[in-house]
Amino acid sequence: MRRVALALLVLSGVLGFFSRLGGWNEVALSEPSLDLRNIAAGQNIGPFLADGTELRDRLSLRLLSTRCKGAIFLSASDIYSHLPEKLVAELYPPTEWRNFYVYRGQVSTQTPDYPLRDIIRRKISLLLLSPVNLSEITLFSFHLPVSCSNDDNAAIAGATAIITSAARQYFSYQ
Amino acid sequence: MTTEAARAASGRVLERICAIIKEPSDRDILAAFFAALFLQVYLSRAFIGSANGHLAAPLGAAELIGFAAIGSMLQRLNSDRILRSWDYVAIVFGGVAIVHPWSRVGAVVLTVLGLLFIFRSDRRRASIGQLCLGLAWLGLWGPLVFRVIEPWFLPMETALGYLPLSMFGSFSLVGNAILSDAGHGVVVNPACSVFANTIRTTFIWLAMVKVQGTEFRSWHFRVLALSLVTVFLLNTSRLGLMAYSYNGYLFWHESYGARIMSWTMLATVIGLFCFGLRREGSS
Repeated sequence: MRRVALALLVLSGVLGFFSRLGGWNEVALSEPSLDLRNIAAGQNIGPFLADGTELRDRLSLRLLSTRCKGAIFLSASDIYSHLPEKLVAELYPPTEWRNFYVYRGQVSTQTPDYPLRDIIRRKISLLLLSPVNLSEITLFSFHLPVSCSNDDNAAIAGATAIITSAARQYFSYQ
Repeated sequence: MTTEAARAASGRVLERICAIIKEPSDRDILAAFFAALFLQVYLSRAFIGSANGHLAAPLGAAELIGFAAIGSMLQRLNSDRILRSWDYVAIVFGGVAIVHPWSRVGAVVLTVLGLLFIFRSDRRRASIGQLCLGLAWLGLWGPLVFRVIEPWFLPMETALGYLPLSMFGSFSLVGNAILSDAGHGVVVNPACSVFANTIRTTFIWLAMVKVQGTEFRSWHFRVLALSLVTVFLLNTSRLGLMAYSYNGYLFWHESYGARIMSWTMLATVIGLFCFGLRREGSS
């Protein structure tokens, strides 16, 4: 029994170590993430035009729109670790900015809930090596100057364009 | 002469390996398990992390000291039989399970083994159990608990960082963010929290107590408390320095400052444990 145990442990150690170095590791399992720095200035983001990034509450993408004079700021965060609304209101005061969120193709003025069952499902997907959809885990925050009118469809189109572009980059990287 | 000595040494190693294969002791089984775990969960991630940049290399000083302590405990086992038949099943099952690339599997296996070992009367075995649970706490349960307490822990920690700052200028506190009137602000993320440092400090303390081979004494806990307070003060002062100005943030977060602070914390903690715990041992 001891010899069998020893043989299995040695085999598992050697196989596991080399398979990890060979690519079957956590990098292959890691969840995709959005890096807004990959979006070049001048690139079309749905109905918007990207105008570079800026470090505000977190890395934010500056967007230009024909329907808005000032710059629109967009940041993307994990739905699990977004900034509290109180802090967003401090950084983008409601007297000067309209703040709204896009998650799973839905627009809301408050951060959406992320129920425990979704967290568990996400962790199980990771454990079972199933790919995680970027749109399922990314929360987009839009900050528009108050002088600009809200356009929910434009925001949804912008968020979808970013997801599509990022997924293309992620899978070409993989 | 040197060649002969090398040949003799390699002959002895081969002999030892043959003896282990012929009749492995409990110590050999446990050593094989921990070697497999170290290679797969810790060492491989350090390689992948440094080559790829996607993973923060988790093979820190705490883990290395922990494995050194496990090695020291295994050495003390000699050829004693301390494992039961169920233990073999658990060890082999765990050894095979950690082939799965998700590193948290290793922490789950360590938890099971830790719970199997910790309540046994043999002190060496109970110590290995404690170290297993400590490694599992570092890798899985600590971060998980932090996820739960984060909503109130981070604002409290940020508030403590904000307190001394208010004497040096006009700052405001919003949840886990410190904003200055000059337009600069920092948001304290989970990665910047002192929580991770405190669990690492506690684990290093546990490992060093085990390496010394002593039982827990009240003095040990005082040394631990002093170290935790020191780590907390160092991290809080770093938060203040980052929030004070944008240049401060760049240095203490993006540049050498982060490394200086982590090395200072490690050196302070190890220094405190070396002198504090040794004093007890010699008395």
